[in-house]
Amino acid sequence: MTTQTTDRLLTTSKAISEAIGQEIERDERVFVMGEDIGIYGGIFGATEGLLAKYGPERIMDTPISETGFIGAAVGAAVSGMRPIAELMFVDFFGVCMDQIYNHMAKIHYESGGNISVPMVITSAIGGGYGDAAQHSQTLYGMFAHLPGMKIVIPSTPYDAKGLMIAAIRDDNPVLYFFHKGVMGLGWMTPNPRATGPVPEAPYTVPIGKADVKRDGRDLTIVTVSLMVHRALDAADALATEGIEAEVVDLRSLVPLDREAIAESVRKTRRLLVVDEDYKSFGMSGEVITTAIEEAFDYLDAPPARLAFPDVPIPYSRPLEQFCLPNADTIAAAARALINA
Amino acid sequence: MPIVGLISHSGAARDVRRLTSLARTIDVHERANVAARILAGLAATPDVCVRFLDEPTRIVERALRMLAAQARAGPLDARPLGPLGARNATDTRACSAALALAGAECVITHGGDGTNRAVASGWPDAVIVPLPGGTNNAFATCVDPTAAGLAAGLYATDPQRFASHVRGTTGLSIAVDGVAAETAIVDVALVSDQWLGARALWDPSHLLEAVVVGGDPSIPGLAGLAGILAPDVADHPDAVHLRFARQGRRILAPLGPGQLVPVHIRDCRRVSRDETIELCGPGTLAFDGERQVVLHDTQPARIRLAAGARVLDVAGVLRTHARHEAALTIGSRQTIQGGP
Amino acid sequence: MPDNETLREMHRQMVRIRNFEEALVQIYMEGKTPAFDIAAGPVPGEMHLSAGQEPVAAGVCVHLRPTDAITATHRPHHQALAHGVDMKLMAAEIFGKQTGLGHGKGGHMHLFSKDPAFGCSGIVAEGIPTAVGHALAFKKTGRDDVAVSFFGEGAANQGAFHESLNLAALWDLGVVFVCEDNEWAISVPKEKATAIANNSDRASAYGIPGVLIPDNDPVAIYEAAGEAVARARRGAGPSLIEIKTDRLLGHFQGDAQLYRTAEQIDALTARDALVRFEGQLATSGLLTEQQAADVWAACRSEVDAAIEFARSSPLPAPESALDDVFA
Repeated sequence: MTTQTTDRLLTTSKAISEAIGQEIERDERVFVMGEDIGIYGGIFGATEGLLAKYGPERIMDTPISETGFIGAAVGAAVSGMRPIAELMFVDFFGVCMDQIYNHMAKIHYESGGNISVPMVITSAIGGGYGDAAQHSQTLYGMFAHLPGMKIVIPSTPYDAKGLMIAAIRDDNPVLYFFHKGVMGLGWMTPNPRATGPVPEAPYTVPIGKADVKRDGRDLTIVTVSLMVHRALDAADALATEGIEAEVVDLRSLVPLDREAIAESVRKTRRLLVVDEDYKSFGMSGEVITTAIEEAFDYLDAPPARLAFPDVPIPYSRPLEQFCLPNADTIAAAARALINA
Repeated sequence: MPIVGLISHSGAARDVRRLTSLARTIDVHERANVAARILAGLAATPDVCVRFLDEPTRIVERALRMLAAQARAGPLDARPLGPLGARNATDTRACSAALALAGAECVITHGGDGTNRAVASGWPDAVIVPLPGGTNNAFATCVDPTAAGLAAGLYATDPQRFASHVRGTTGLSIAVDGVAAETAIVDVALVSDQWLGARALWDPSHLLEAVVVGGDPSIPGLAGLAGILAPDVADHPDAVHLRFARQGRRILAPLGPGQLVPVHIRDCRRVSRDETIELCGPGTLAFDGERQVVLHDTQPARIRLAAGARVLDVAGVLRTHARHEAALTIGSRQTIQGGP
Repeated sequence: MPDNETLREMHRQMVRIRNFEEALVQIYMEGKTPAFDIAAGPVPGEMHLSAGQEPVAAGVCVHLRPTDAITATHRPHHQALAHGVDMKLMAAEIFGKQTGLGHGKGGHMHLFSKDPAFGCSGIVAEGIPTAVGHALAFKKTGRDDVAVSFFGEGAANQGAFHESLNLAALWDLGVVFVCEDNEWAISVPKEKATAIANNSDRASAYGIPGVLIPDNDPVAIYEAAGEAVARARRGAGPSLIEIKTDRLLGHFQGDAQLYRTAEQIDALTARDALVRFEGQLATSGLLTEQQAADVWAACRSEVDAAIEFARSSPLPAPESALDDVFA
């Protein structure tokens, strides 16, 4: 568990905007571009308060031109700036994906390491609040599949600030995905885990390093983002039954901390992956394969996964909630794994 | 069957002066709109045949569609004539020559001074209705396009009746050994350097000498400069011969649209009808503001005043027509009551 | 108007480029015959050559400093060379050698250089927003460098083009957008793809000046580009120059060009801008036959040396494929 030696409590969204603000103050090359990130403060609060503090040169509202401004971020980064471009919903990647995966992610490699693209793309992911098929996806599995971009997905305010500062300081392209449900927004369903201790001074959280959010000995639950909260809730319930679940928060998908997965599996011998992204061909498959490749002999039961089914995200609450993993279904899957 | 020519193309008002001065841009829709308004006037003439320049931006075709969308318009006999896909002054000249051969009585132009020169070159006796559609429009007259169409149609139907409204202009004939004779309708300038390049003139420091007809201080270009230097010449069918210098009398001249620049004049004198002026190389001759012929060392160009293009006085035609109170009948089309 | 030294330099660049491209015509086919096998030979993959389009590169790039940033297309050689990218390192990259600009990782469509600042892309229109970004960085850091975006007439129908012109105009950035209209998007002629005849007309949709250079004339291009670059440098904003140029060869090497007739191709060759320019220089007394021959010989030598460097350089170690993903 990461040490958080402070009583200062912030929501995840405030932790993110604080991180960006501190980096803007420290490094004149940092600036933010995106839709409604100025006076609105970002639709999900990621840049709240920053326009008033730093002005429109550093916090730039853009037209609805993702290809244009994300492509511009690529050019600005090649020319020595450190831009942060916000893709409002990750679901919108379709209109600008070429600039992301084909251009931003490949320039360093194609140039044989000569040219770097130190930029961050922030984007809101996730559902569970009725925003339906085109505004609720997570999609990190798809992005993680493509080489050349780091991916970080914080689940706590502490990790959110540290990973944002790390992402900005990283010389590589970093996709920074924040789940709408972990942001602590006043207009979403309240989530106590969306607020947490955040030191005021800047600090980094290493990219590519998972974090054991809860120690346990009976099974390992590997997950990311909002599902970390759900897994912790499930673990609390399981603890009353005498089952101690270890919850591993990956925090990064690229690079993937395969050793952390293996180490935990070697310890608990049972693996449950919880994934809000579509089940097939994604994160859950990758984690399970890692466990098999690295720790096959230690497994006492076949690894299990609980993921969003391969269907477009339905609108109606009972339909959406049926598809999403929750604390109860995670606990049930954990019990089944224990009994397997 | 009265035949009227119509020449409009998108090459006019598209050159480098968009960058070097505040030259306006006339896009294809604006050109089509003007052409449609011209055609609306022409359509009032019974049995009129319109023969137009075929060029890649399809201005007249667009205009015909715009006209057809107006419920009251009937079919108009309008067809291209001359080279297909006209791209340059040579093609415009060829179209003009074809109009002459076809028996057209007059030609309406919507272009710049270069366009009108090309028309006059291909058909020296042409009666032109020149609407301002270029960068510098020293030659054109500001009239409503529909009035122009009406007047052109009336003239073509009965040239004798309206003969008094054809005004001759003075042009400049240029003879260079080994080069086909040219006529300029506004001015001939000798500039330093020996390249045609982007054709237009915009840098006063390159001006060496010029011969300008019909100076008018209220228009841009060398004609405007001549109007400032020899204010009384406008009433006389003369021209002025200007010589430029590094030092000398400093005039603030509107060389191009919005481009008020200091020009240094060595001297300025009237040119008489029977005089031949020699401009000698090295340098480049520009006719009506476009570089056309490179002169090598000591190679002379001989300039004389000559009969220039003929221009139709639109208001005069319409007044004469109104005075005779002839009602316009259009047979199968509409009837216009009470004169134009 | 360019001075004599500049004219000679433009000519030299055009001859350099022509020699390089013609060398590649031969080299590309090595190992690929008798039955064309795209994967075979010292230069596998696709090859898009710029013969005929040299005036665009010479006329624009002669105004640029190494710190001015260019983004270019899948047909990048002429602009890369004219901007000063090292010919040896470029050739080595095209040959996929370890000594190449990208250590063999990029290849002919992905040539990147820091000094001079140059990048290109195999995705149509991809580089246009990037140029906007370079200009944004220059403006933010108070540099008077300019960004130049080269793209084709086909790219002007891609959303990225429109978004980029809007952004550059909105933020008043020093970008020169250069549309190289060689009339062909592979096999589709412009009149079948573009609703309007001149892409320069699209500039006014974004409130920026648009200029048309109707022939492939290096001096006309030089003059227009000079004005556009000067405007961008002094903070007067973006502009669009459309140049009607000629693609003498196929879209890619191996292209049977069934979509255009032999007459059309012959007509292009007949109006080869390099030949025309040389004639004009000769007539002006700026280039004697001997001088021209000397320029051609010098350029041929330079190209030969670059090709030799490429041929004799080692291929990269196979495992190095795993390197350079991240900085």
